[in-house]
Amino acid sequence: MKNLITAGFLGREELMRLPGVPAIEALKAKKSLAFIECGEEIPCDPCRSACPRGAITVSPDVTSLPALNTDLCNGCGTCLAACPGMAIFLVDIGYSETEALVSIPYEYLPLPEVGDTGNALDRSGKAIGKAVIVKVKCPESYDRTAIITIKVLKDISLEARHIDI
Amino acid sequence: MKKSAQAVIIGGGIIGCAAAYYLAKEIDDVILIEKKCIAGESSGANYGMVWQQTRQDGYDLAAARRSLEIYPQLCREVFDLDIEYEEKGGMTLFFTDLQAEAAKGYVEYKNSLGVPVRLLSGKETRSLEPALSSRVTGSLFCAEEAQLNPFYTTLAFARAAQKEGATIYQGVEVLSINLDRGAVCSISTSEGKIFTNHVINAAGSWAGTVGAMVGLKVPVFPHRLQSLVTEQIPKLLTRTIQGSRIARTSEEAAKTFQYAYDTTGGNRPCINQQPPAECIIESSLFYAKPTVNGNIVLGTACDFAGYNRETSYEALAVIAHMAKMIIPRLKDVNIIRSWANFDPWTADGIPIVGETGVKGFFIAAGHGTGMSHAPATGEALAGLITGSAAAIPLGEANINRFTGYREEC
Amino acid sequence: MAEDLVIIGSGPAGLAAAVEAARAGVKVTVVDENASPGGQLFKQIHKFFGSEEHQAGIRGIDIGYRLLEECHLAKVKVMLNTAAWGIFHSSGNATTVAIKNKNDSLCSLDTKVVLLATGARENPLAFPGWTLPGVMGAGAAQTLINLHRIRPGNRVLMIGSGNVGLIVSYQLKQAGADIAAVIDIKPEIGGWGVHAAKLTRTGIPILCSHKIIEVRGLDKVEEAHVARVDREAKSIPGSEKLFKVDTVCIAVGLSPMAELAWSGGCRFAYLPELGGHVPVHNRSMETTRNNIYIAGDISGIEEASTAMEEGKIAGISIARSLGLLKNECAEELIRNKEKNLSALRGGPMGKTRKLAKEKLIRLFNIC
Ligand SMILES: Cc1cc2nc3c(=O)[nH]c(=O)nc-3n(C[C@H](O)[C@H](O)[C@H](O)COP(=O)(O)OP(=O)(O)OC[C@H]3O[C@@H](n4cnc5c(N)ncnc54)[C@H](O)[C@@H]3O)c2cc1C
Ligand SMILES: Cc1cc2nc3c(=O)[nH]c(=O)nc-3n(C[C@H](O)[C@H](O)[C@H](O)COP(=O)(O)OP(=O)(O)OC[C@H]3O[C@@H](n4cnc5c(N)ncnc54)[C@H](O)[C@@H]3O)c2cc1C
Repeated sequence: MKNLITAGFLGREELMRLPGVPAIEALKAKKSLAFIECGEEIPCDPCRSACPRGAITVSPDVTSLPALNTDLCNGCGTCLAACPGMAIFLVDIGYSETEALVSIPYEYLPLPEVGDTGNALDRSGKAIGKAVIVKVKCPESYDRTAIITIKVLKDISLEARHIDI
Repeated sequence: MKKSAQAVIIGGGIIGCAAAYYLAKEIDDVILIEKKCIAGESSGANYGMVWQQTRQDGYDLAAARRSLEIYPQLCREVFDLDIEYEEKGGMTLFFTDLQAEAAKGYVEYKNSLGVPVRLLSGKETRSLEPALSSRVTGSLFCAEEAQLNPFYTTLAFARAAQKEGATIYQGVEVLSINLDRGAVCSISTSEGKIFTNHVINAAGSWAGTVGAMVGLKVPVFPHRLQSLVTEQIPKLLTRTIQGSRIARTSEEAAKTFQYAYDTTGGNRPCINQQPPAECIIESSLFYAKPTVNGNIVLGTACDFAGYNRETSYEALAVIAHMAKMIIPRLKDVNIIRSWANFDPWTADGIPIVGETGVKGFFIAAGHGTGMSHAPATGEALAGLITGSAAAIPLGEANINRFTGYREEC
Repeated sequence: MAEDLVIIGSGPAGLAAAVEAARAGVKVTVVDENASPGGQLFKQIHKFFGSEEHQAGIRGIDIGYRLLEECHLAKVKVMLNTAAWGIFHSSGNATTVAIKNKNDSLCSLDTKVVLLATGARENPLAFPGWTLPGVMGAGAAQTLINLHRIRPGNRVLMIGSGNVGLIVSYQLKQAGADIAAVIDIKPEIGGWGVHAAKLTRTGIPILCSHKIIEVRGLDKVEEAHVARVDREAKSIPGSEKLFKVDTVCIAVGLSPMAELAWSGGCRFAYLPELGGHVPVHNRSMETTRNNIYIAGDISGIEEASTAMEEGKIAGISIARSLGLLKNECAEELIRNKEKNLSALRGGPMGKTRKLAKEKLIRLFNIC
């Protein structure tokens, strides 16, 4: 995880090796899937217990990397708010012909509103395209971590991880 | 390590180091052996007052006065580091009118001994030291008194001794002293043996242990004194002050200026005399010494607890309460450190200096105020060993003032 | 009247110990110098890591409220605005804890057992300009924003990329400040990747192999000069960068606050992995001085979650030593907490700490 520990974000290669990151084929096959960008063996497993369908496993130890079973995951998004590292996203790559949806855990106030637009930022914080907020969810069970969903062009959906409003 | 010496001094406190300096000036091959480090015990843990107003008539006072004479000269001509020697005078505070009354007679008596101490009113006292509380009803002030940095002074003596050719071993412990037909012939240390015909016991509070190595009872005991140090603050005091015990009856007032814990009632002390058993923390004297760096050293609370160097809550609280009462502005000042160390104690408050029944075995220990005595004691001891003329007579300081001494040895 | 147990420090370690001990019937008094209890916990507004047993996923501040509620139910007495300044061995087996209370007066508590849960302090870092107003510890900045709700500045340079530096940067951003950069002299980020990633995706650069050269300003911080360093940590000429900032936060590690353990005469070991000089302790969290226990950051810099587990072990052991818990029962409880601790110290990130902690306990038996 060279890029993660020297620059502070996962490189593309590093990312695709993670057991929590779904393969492109799976993404294409499903409406929406969790995208778990957890790349270090730290003692942490709330994502596992948060998933109502048992799609996430952390084994054999609490320090093992979370693995996603793409057959069981239905993209409900519960794990996004549960992850203390705010490292889980939701990607709906087939939202439309040209667009994808990315859901992001978000803890800045004031919360954006549906319809707000801004720049989509990649993992390094670089602006890579336009983004529109299509959903803002913050029920009590999320414990003050909102999940915002942005609409972006399909080809940047695996990179867009923040929105600059 | 050297194999032989003309004289070996045991103990690297102020007494041992001063003795080493004066001896090395006269003879070759002086060795000083210190089990910890120079000024590692009492000589690095005290207030550095060089006072005469509190000393008893006889060797005690003579040594203090002689030292006040020698120190300035040592600073000018001998020491290669600044020992922060300052002749600012010493002040003993009291708190009741009865004590002011008792002080009059005391001043007369001290003046008759040549001690230039004066009686100051409360107002005069505060004009010299404005930080003092209005509870101070007066003081005894002696202009011819000084204060110094005890570490630097001990170190300065050690370095002066080395310059004169003395050898100093630190971290070496003397384990036994060997006699040949009743006379000292060698010592054994943790690092080997040294042949010598002269050994000086300058082991401070451990003088008893060293004395036992030649079969002598040396009645010196560790008197535990505790101290606090404040953070550095803008100048609050000019000179070191001593606070007497508050006396409310004329009987108590009369005792205000008795300093030594004299348990002998004026008689010659007995060689087997033990320190008092009762706790004496409550009746301890107060000290406040402004250091050159701006810290104030506060003391003291004393008791006898063997060689236990822990501080106690009771003692530190007593010091803090006294400090607040006497210098109210200290209330808002932080304390950064506290410590306990041992003041060598003898039953009559007088040190033991001189030769003994064991040929070649000398003692210079049991100093309750070694900073005030060291130059004079070192000089006198060197004179005794080399046979040169004495500046002050050792007089009653010899160990044989203790009754029962003969039978013991 | 002597207390059973006096706990110094009401952080996660102290409170967790208080609850365990009080539930077993120990009469507990907790003293803390602050005006409110909780230690660092109430500053931790983020969700904690770990497993369910460690209350993972819950925000530190809420763990704090839970603990306080449990203390209340267990009838733990908490004395606030009360600083302990000394530990003394009084006659008999008792220990005297010297304290300074609200009114600034000296008093003392006599107790059978003392638990030191005093936490840690931030390490300073000296560089030209470090005394200018606007240079502060990251923990201090965190206290300002999360406890007092005051933003210390608008544009911040963070020195240090450990978890503290990363989390406080994130929280400063949440509080509305701009983070110019996080720098670290080491070639790698010290804290966890997920904390770093939270920052980088918002555009905050994390510059490894960079050090602070100087902070300048007339009477407060106005700019910070930073340079890249070579393998020997020397700055590389020509690599200087200038950041216009009004605040510089220092997050270069914590040191155990162990003065009271020194004053109590406990034996220490030097273990840099744990933050420096730490009191040696055994499995029960007892130091080399009878009846003086430690738990939390004072026994090695770790986390609130480990601090709570250690606190619980201390509380249980103390109840056992006072005869209020049977040995078998205490052993079982302790083993359970040890399992939790071991999980928290698991993985490659926890390994150094785990080994150092094991060494500390081994040293207890070596005189
Ligand atoms: C709190 C306090 C305040 C004081 N204030 C003053 C003051 O203001 N003015 C004043 O004049 N006096 C003051 N004193 C007294 C003064 O400190 C002592 O009188 C003086 O330091 C005694 O010196 P010393 O060399 O005899 O003993 P120490 O300094 O104790 O030296 C004895 C040395 O002998 C060594 N030793 C012992 N056994 C052996 C062995 N077997 N082998 C090798 N080495 C050994 C020890 O390690 C020690 O270093 C104060 C004392 C205290 C505790
Ligand atoms: C910025 C930051 C972020 C952190 N994030 C996390 C995290 O995400 N997850 C996690 O698990 N851990 C985290 N930690 C670590 C965690 O906060 C500490 O490890 C934990 O608080 C240690 O608990 P403690 O009880 O030992 O000490 P503390 O919480 O520090 O409590 C000690 C208490 O004792 C008091 N005290 C000290 N000395 C005295 C005295 N002499 N008299 C009276 N009272 C005294 C102090 O004022 C304080 O209230 C973080 C720490 C920091 C600084």
